[in-house]
Amino acid sequence: MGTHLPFTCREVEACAAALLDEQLSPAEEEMVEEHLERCDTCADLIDAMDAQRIKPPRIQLIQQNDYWEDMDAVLQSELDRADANSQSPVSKQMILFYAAVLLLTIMWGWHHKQRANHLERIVYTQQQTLEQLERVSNPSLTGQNAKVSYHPTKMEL
Amino acid sequence: MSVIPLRSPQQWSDEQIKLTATKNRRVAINLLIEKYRQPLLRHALYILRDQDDAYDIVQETFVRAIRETRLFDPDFRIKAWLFRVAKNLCLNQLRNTSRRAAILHANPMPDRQEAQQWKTLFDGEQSILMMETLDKLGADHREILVLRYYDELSYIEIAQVLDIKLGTVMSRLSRARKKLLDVLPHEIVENR
Repeated sequence: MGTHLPFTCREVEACAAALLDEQLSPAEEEMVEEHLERCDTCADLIDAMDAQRIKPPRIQLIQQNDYWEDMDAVLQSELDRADANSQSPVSKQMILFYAAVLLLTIMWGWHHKQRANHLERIVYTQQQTLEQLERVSNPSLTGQNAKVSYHPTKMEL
Repeated sequence: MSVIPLRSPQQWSDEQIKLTATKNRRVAINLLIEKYRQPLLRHALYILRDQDDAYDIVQETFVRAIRETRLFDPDFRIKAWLFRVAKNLCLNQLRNTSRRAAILHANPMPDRQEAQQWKTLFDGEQSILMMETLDKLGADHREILVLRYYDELSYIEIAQVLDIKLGTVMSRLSRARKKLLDVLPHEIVENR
């Protein structure tokens, strides 16, 4: 049924609500009407749908004068907060910028501390090596004289 | 401390409210709250059928609106956004409620009085019957029928709220109404 019609039964069924709600374009409506004139099944369906009574159920809500008071209080304080944020002298971007600068400073300090430790270790190792060399090259050094120590001048770190 | 405009907030179009926002955002938000709190409360009541929960949903929707930076952008669809947020919050609430009910399974026979309590929210047998009829439909069909015929949103607004195409709104709505034919009690049709 309906293959020779401008709209198939399936298509008419799909736009039945739109037809009843007057949401179709004049051209679409004309095609659906043309289909309905020749198709009793679809016409019956549309009639049955049209007979449906879909009215919003009536809500009986007792709303005192102060019904919205609590919500207003919450929303107005939320608005105050939003206003305060928008008027804040330090914007979020500025806070992020300062945080980034602080982080970079901490990282820079930590890096130099590591470097200083590393150099200190090198100086200590060199000092040990020189003492050993001195002992090997001059075996006569014994007792008090055996204590050879090198104190390289402090490096500027 | 809400602003009292010369006209009732319902008479303000969203575009006019956006225009107000360019001068004073706070006044514009207060207008939005006045305009949409009743429709959103009704929507939440249709879905949740609990007055306190519905009230909280409306409040949370507006809190999110206040925090939404794009709210008054020229191409921002305020009404659809508000209904979408409220709808999602309602669904979350329903999920939480059913989860809680599953956890508190200790009471397998629900309190009959409590189960029937939602009916006091609706005026008249027809309204209650209509809500009970909706319960017999699937969630998608129930949702689209509420948005269209109870909240009276346009097809385009429904498409924006549900994030679906206009054609899908038409076909889903038609399917929902066809399904409704099977479950709608005779007395509702006859009393038309």
